[in-house]
Amino acid sequence: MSPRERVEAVLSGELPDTVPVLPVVDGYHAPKVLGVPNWECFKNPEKMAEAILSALRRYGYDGAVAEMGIGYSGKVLGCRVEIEGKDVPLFVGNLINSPEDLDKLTVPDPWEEDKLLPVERVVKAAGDTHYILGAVRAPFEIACIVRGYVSLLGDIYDSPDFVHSIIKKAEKITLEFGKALIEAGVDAIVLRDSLASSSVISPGHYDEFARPYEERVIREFSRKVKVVLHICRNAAPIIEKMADTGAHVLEIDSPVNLAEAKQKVGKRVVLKGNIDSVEVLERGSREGVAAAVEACMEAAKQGGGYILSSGDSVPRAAPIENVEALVKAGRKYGGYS
Amino acid sequence: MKVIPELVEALVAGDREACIRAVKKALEPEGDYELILRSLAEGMDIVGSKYESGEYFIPEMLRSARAANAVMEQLRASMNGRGERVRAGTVVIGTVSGDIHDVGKNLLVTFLRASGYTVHDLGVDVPAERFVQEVEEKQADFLLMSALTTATRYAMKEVIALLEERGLRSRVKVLVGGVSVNEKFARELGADGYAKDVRSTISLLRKLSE
Repeated sequence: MSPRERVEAVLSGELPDTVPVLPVVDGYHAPKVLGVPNWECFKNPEKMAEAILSALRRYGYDGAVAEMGIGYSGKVLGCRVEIEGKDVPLFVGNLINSPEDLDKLTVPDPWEEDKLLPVERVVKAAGDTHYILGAVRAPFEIACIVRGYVSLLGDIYDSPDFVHSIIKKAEKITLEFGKALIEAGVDAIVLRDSLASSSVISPGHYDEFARPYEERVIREFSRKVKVVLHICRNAAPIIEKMADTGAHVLEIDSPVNLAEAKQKVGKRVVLKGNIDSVEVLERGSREGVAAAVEACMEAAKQGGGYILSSGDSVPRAAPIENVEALVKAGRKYGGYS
Repeated sequence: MKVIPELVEALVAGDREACIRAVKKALEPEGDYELILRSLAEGMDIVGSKYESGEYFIPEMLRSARAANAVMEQLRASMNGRGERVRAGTVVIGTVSGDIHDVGKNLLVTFLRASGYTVHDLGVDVPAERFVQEVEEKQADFLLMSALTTATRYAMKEVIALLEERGLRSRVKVLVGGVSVNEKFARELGADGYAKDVRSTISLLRKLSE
């Protein structure tokens, strides 16, 4: 099976030859493989494409997360972002400080400034053989960024209508960028809703402020492509709700017990995860990585419906040997015979 | 220790109006400020434990912190009339390296203010020199630093060395935190303490103030 066929088999409910390996190696780690600083790739879309492709070649996993270029993360949202000299774009100040500021949040043109160039390049260079993902922020996550996390989370009790009005505007941005990714040729969209996690908001607030919006954009995207729903840290209390959104894959982080998740939702959705990006990949040893991979396989491999991955973006600080160890152990323990 | 039960209860529920009512009552005829501050601290500690046990989430913590802040404003207004100041201590806080995940630090700032501390938040990506300057100018009792990546936590060492060089080290207690730091690293650094979350930071500050 080609890497692409392997992932597609899992997504259509068939058993592949071996568990697909698809860690979240995006603009935070891929530039390290190319040997350039992260900020250089955030500024230069051609470099970003090169970095993603060089990581794919070096590590030999089954697909790639095609990161958008030109500091996509913040700049498109109208926030001031500092990139120079940084591994991760840094948001400076909030865009929305009061209901009057709502108009400042506009839907930018995804095609401007070569933002989609890295995605198109990666699709063209690797799309025939590999599975290509593109990522967008979910409406709740965008709202948290433009209003500032602490302010928005405080508004949930103080002015819930204000919160909804920001998220509603954010939904348009999520939709536009998702549609552009589809047009650029991705196979699946990763919908990132990091702060919808039960490490941050209650399952009740997830139902009120995150899930309805996730569902709407997932419905729209899934007419054309598959959708991966990513929620950081502890999503165990909402795992069934996540499976109800219509997402095809749930990308879960290390605090979630993978075996329990498999038992609860494994028949309805594909699970992707959940090696700890910091404790295991950044700070652990190669042996530690292999042991973590083996544990994941034991928890979720049986019967298919599983993709081996990191639980979150692999940090730049993660040693290259550790990511290599992840792929190697994935092949060693992943086979379906 | 004695507290005002209605205030504690209202704070845990995050009911701002009820908090203000309870404080108004407590301030008449003559207010026991210490008792009010102690009640706030007790309430916030319960809120923190509810977060740890999974009953509360960040919005619930912020709801209580905002209520506590309203009480602090009320107290300041009442004390200003008598020339007194509410002051649990002065804190200088910042992150040594830039990161989008600075939710924890911002939450801590909110909680510290709610607990009566005067807080000077230097934000993220703070150079050593700036930390030290601020400690000196504001005559800080505490310096709180967090680092979010292992690569940058050594910047904390630089700050401590600079404090020593300027003869300020003995005047300020240094606490470190953040996902990339642990107890052992804090000791190696020569910090006065390590705290893993908002609740343990505040109880550590109180312990260090005794």
